[in-house]
Amino acid sequence: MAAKVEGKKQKSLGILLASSPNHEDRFTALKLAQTALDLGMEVKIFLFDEGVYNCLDNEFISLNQAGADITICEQSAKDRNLDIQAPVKRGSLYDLAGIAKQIDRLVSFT
Amino acid sequence: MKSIAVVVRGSPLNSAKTGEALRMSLGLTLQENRVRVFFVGEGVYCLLPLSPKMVGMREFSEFLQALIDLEVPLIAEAEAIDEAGLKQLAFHPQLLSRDEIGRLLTEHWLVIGC
Repeated sequence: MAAKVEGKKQKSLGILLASSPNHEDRFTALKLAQTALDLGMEVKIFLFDEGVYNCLDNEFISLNQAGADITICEQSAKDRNLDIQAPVKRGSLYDLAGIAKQIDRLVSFT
Repeated sequence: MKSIAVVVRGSPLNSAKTGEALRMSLGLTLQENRVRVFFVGEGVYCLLPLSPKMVGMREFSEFLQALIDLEVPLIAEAEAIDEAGLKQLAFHPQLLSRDEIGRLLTEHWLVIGC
């Protein structure tokens, strides 16, 4: 991971992922997040709708260990009877609203 | 304050995405974000009096009503309403042309297509 540039405010990237792991969006979001982390950016990911299934994907969850902040919409998971075992934050759309409010850039994959 | 456009473009009874898009729109208002919801293409069918529960889907009219109560601007594509021949709408958003909607979308910090 690249070192953060001293004295400069760390840039942040938000990713809203509402596509299932079978969709190509998963790969794009994954690589985008990895690249942003490598550049020393703060990365916040919100899994919503069908995107909550990405919490079953070890490669995706490994972003968490790499420094990304992953939040899952608990209501979307509940609607799909998804038992969340992954080490991600359980949240709500209030968290997505907060990410949108605070982040420098937010990209959506829906 | 960030401006966010949610563009609903899918038919409401084909997938749960439409209901989720409206729930998300409502959620995005929970912090200081300026949200606008656009209905384009087949998304305009959301504005009809529908009963998604009849086909095993979650009701979403409550989300639309809450957005109206919160004075979140709802905007629909006039051409799509005409092309679909929709007359008896349950919700009455502002009607704008396709071109006007395109121009308006460029003013937003974030556009989420659903």
